[in-house]
Amino acid sequence: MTLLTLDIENGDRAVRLALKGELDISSAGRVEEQLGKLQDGDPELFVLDLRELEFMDSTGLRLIVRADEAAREQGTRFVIVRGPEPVQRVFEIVGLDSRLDMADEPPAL
Amino acid sequence: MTLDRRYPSVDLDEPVGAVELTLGEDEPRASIRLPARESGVAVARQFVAGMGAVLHVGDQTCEDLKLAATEACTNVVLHAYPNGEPGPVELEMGFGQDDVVRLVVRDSGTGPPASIDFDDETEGGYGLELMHAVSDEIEVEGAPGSGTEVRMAFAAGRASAEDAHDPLHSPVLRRVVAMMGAHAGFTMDRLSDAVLVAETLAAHTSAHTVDGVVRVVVEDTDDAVELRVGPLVTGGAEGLLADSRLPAYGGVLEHLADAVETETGEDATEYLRVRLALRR
Repeated sequence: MTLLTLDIENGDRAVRLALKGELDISSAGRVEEQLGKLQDGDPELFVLDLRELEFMDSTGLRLIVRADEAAREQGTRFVIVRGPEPVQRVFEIVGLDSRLDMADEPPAL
Repeated sequence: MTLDRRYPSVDLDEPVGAVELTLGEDEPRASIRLPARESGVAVARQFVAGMGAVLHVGDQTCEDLKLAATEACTNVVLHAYPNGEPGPVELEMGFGQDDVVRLVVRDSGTGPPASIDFDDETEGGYGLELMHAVSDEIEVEGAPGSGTEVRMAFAAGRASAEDAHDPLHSPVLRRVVAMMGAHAGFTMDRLSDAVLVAETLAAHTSAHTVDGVVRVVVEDTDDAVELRVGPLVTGGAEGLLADSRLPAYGGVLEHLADAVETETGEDATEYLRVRLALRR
């Protein structure tokens, strides 16, 4: 049993990272490590799938904002698949839901 | 391109440490005290989720409380004890006299920053912004060197008198023990044993304590989760074990735990120690 499970799917110059469980300071390190590794592959499309994420806090927000900035710098399209209401609410409170590229369903890899 | 590493990959084996739970009997109020480590934040969140269930606050308020508690605890983990071993973080939750839910998060660390801006959107600022947004009232108090206390209120609307408070506190103990077990690497089978032990203790302990208040220390080690229940009255440990025996099954605690021991405390009090090993 772990707090957060990471599931990675590789496509043609595209990657999907799905997070399942709870993202907080104790699980952020593992996500950060994977985000770094996957973006190192310089994909055209990076999909962060939050559909099965049950909890996210400001640690998760900061991590996603930095990953988005890094993706922009290297010209990778960074898409976030919307999570359940408690997760989306966190984006909405700080006004990030309109600044990030969000989708209801993952685009094809 | 590399993402600068900011967060440690918490070793999943890093222990949470000793988690002290105090579950009030007459008043729907409880507290938890644990070492301010990354690994403890999820345990604190489970405490709050459990109290939310005890107080019947509703799903939305429960999510708000979990987020607020997580943010406040994360601040303690990151900022309160900059040097050396992490000190304690304590959470207290219950209804205030005005029927709003009160959540207090306190530490004994370096104290709050000189000025606090709830709308600070810079790195690290989201936490305060979120706490401010989900709570109906928030106050931060403290002084350099003497710790910080964050007090938040949530207008939840108290449920009807009879179900506003579950005196058994099972939802709190069950969630905290389950999270500690998950962190220690329990399998699903062993987790369900741990949950049953927690429910059994929650159901029968208050009758055997000195003041009706249930105190439990839950501690994870490399290969086990241990619960220390007490202080209990003289003979309380045996009474608790007897109460938890089921006809045609026997002692639930003795059956599921790897060790059940009685310890003597001060003033003829007793403690019941229950050890659940990772593998049986």
